Amino acid sequence: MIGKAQTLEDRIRIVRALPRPARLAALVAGLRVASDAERERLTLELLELALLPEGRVSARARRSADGALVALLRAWPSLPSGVRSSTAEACEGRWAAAADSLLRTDPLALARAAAALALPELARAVGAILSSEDPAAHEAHEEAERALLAMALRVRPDLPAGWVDPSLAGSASAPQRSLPPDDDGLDLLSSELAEAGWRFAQHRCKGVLLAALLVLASPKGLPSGPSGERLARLFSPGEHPGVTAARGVLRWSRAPAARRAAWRLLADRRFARPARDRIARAGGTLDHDAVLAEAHLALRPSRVVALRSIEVKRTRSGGDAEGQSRLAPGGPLPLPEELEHLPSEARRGLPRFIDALTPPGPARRLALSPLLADTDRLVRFNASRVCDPSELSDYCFDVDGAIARSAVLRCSTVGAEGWLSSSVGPGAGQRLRLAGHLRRSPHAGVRELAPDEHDRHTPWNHASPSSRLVARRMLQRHPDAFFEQLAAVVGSGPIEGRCGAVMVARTLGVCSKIERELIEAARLPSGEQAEKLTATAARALGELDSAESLRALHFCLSHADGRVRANAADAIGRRVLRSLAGSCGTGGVFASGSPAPHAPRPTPHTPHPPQEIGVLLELKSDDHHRVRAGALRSLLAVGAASADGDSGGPSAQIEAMLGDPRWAHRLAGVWLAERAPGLIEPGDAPASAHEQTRRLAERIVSIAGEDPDERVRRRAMGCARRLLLRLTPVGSEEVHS
Amino acid sequence: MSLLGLIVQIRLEGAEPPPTPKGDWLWWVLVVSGALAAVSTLVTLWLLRDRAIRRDPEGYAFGALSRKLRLSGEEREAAVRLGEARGVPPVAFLVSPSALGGGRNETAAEA
Repeated sequence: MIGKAQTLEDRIRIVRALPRPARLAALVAGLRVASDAERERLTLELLELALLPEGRVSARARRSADGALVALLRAWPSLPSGVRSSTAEACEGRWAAAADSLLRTDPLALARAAAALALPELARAVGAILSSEDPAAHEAHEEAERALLAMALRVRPDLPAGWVDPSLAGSASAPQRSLPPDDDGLDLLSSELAEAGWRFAQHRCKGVLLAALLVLASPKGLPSGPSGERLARLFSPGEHPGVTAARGVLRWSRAPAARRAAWRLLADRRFARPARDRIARAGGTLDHDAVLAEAHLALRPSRVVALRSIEVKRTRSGGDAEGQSRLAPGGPLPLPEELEHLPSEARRGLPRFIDALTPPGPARRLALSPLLADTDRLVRFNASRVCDPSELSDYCFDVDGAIARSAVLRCSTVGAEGWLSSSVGPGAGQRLRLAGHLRRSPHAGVRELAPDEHDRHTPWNHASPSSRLVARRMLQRHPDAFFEQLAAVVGSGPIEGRCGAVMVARTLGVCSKIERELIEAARLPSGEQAEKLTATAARALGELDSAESLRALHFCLSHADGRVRANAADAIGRRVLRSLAGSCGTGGVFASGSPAPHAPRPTPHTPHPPQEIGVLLELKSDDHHRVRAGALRSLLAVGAASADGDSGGPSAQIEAMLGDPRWAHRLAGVWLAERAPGLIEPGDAPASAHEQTRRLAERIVSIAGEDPDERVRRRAMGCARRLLLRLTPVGSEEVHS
Repeated sequence: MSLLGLIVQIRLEGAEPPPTPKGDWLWWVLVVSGALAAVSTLVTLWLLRDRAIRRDPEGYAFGALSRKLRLSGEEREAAVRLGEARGVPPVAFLVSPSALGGGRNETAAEA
């Protein structure tokens, strides 16, 4: 150890007592051999020497301060990183003069310091280094090139340094990434870059052109003023001899920053062609990230127009023709194995980019299909917005409810052109199955939409307005196809679907078109819910007047199931009513409504109605309550309730049911009583009929209060209220009381 | 009596200043020229020092630090030799304690 003052502080105290030039020399020399810990302290001493006091400063003090600043600039790459930013800010505005001083003595050190400082105010000095024609200045040229790239990075804080030059990132002399320069700094940098670019033939440093490209593609747009225009002309065709190199940098540079610059400049006609070529080629994950992270730029139509000329190539895995098709490597779109290395921001932009590229269907599917299993929900959502309709069904089963619901809405044919063909066309079955599966989705939003969607794809759900609308439209536009499908559905398939189709046929009044299928259904043997179909078919056969249908109805009358017999009785009643109306020119109607408009009129071969009335008279004593009530209702409708002569008037028949010891018969009696007055007193009823109705109402009221069965009482209560409403003048308080 | 003695006598004793030695101009010439010689000597010395500093600030700093650190002749020699070997001014080893045996073993070994 030299000296007795062993600590650095003691020695600095001694150095501070020295005159300024000696102090400066001692500090600069000490900085060259100091350890890392000492270097920071010595740098602060130098910085203190470099600072100018406020007010008037003598020339000697200014000289010393400038000398200290030059010393700092020279030693900049070796300065501790902790003091660099504070030093750069403390001496702001004086670096250009210090750089000019250092340029004369040590241009290499200046270039290195400029690369680390990345201050635009050093651009002029760095440009002067590039202007040097000294053959020994090759290393200084390289450093000056790095310095200009570092300065350009200050303008583009969105770019990681590694995207421009790997040597600029992660090294000890990495440039400062502080705030971007102000307008003056940007103007100065643009001017010097343009100057250096126009002298490309002199220095042949392509990094200068890349730096110019980065500034040109700044998010703030082209630098205003003549410097910006000159910079743009650097890359414009036919402006100067170095344009080939400049456009070559835009087209061929492997730096991811160049691809992002190309993506930004794609909208400008002057740069569109080389930019498009660069976009069409990607060298890895970073290249894809550079574009996809800013995929929102594809909103600009001019970019989309330029993108459309890019071809997305495919190749076969394994090289043979039978191999699986996949995206060609090196193309504009990332391969599936590259996707997992892309950040989520880039993956989120990929669907929009694919949509803007408009590749052919297979390539589009290849590019989008890996996104279906992406872990990021926004990626999947964006992909579902642009994927083919054929693949949209996959997104309907997404684990995320919002994505699934969105996909279902996009799948929906509501308001879509040609919705009917999609509902009844070749793919209708698949869509119907999809909607069926979606009704069991775990997401409430999907389950809410799925039934409507399901009904929109089938015309055979009579309970749904959407389904009935489909049926009506189909009948109107494609009647042959409709009847063909109707016959097929009624003839075979699940019982529920067959029943629905029969109901639709009844609603549309086209039962005659499926008479054969209805007769077959009416003659189905019992078992496996066949009774339901038989009952439904029997009801539909009531709309027909052929002898075959009547025979089928007679067959149904001997059926073991009560519902079948009840519907058959009802159907026969309708036939009788239609027959009487046809022969007399007048006739009653059922209380539940008039015959459908497509219902066939009575035909000459229709059997004589009294035979059928006899059948009904037999059925009014059936053990099954629905058969009994149905037969009575039909008899009331045709005015033949007492044709057998042993039962009094209609009220007596109803009274008999109401007084039956079996609760189901009493229940059916109440049902019949509610419908009887319209049949007892059609039009101008005599006073005796009116009196019968009043007595019937009173009987119902007493049942509502006294019947032992709760179900009968409840139905009687509602029936009594409705009957009294018919008998009581409007506005009376009697009913409510 | 010197000028200083005269002033002291006037302040302490309240004596009247002696009458101006009319015609004794030689005395004044001596006083003024002596003052000028002293000032010029000081300025010359300062200028010489400043010139030396500007010509060789590292050498000046080395000398000043050597004196303040009370280096022996051998230590000065060692610093000079080390500076020549590493191509840095010898004053660097006086500023940085670690440069010579304080943690930089390779430097000490060179020395």
